[in-house]
Amino acid sequence: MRKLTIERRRCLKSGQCSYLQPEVFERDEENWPVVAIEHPEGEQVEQARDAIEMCPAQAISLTEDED
Amino acid sequence: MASDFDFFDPEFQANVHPHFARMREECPMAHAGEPFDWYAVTREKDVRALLHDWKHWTSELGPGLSREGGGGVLVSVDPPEHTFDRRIVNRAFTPASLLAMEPDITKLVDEIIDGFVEKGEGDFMQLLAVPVPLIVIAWLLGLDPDLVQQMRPRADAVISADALEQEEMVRRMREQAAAEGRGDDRGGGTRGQEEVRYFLGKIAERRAMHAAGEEMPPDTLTALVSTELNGRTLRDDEIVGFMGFLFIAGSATTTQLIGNMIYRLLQNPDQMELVRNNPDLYETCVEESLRYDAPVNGLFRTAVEDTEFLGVQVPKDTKVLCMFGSANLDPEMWEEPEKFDVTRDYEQLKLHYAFGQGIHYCMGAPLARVEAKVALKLVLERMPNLRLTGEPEEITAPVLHGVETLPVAWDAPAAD
Repeated sequence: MRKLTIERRRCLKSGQCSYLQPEVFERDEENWPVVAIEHPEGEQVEQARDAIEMCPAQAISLTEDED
Repeated sequence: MASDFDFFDPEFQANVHPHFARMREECPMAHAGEPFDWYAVTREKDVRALLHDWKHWTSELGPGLSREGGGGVLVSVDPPEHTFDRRIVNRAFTPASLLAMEPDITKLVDEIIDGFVEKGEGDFMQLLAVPVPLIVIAWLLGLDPDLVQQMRPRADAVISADALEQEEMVRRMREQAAAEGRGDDRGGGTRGQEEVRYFLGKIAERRAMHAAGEEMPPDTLTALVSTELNGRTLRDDEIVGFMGFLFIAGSATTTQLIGNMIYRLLQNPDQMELVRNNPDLYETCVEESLRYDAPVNGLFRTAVEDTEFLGVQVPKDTKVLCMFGSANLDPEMWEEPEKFDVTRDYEQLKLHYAFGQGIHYCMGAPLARVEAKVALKLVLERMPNLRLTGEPEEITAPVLHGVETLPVAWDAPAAD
């Protein structure tokens, strides 16, 4: 199963992910991004990939789980 | 109503740290009355609140005090136009592609240092901090580096101009680009700016290559000319807007970053020794410089409707300056903020506001970071015993923080 993660160590709070793809990403009260859909499917996969491309911090990744 | 501070006073500009501290404590929503009513927020949480709330605090009226915007691109538009612009530029401006320029930038900085190192003294700004970012931006835009360096005074004039002059300059550039783009010469002639004509010529060259199916250089200009999004490509006047914006946004700011960093290290010899002896600290040193001496004091947002902020009634279309440089020194966010410390924790440090925050976060940030890191490394390696030889002059553009001149000397290599 695919898994979407944000590496907070790299994140610069540019907010690109949550405003470009609000279905897949949210923001907490301190403006940190939060993954809303941990295991994207269908169109959500494209939305996640768009956010990955647009993230200036290269902080988002989408991986295939081992199991 | 009297002003709480005078942003355009050279004394304010020369002493931003104490002024920011006073504003954070006494008037966190500070009022300014020139040339029309505007405000400045200086606390970290308030700067953050405005930058993340683009629905209520727009960039449509530009990031400066001028209400004409920045050429109608990127920094002066909101979604959905902003999203469109950012996607197009991102194609040729990805963090990965910018980081991949490090070897070329290293070679460039090395060559520039070769050209002056035997002199043993000079103005650091003119020798290194000015040419490096200009030449790099010329590469990205497919422009002639020598010509671009000649254009610098004109770019500086735009940044230094007051709000009303800027409005006029931007309006003229836009009209000229639109007129010449239509093959209509009314906006050109003697009144036209040579930069706009030069940019249009480069765009035409690239369009011809694109039409002929020729292979084009993998730079930003190619992306601007060829990228199709939502069923359309960019018009000439839009591309000129982008080029003008990237030229201004990408050069003077990085020049200030490199100058500020070296100046601050010269004032803190213990920190310079720490960095010299620990190459692992190069990146932290760049970030600490960005925090401590943000090259851009702040940028503006505009209220989309009558509102209230920090108890102040703000009419629609009022501009509010988000003071990046002050958020970077707010004791609510930083421990010992007034201490210049190259050993801070990188993960927290990188969240400074020098590149803004939220959807307008600087797209050139990875490039500025690489240029500054390379400059730092090579200055330390190749200009030993670097020292100040006189008093630097402050830069005059109020939006920028830094020095115009930085007189230095170093131990020149012995002649063979």
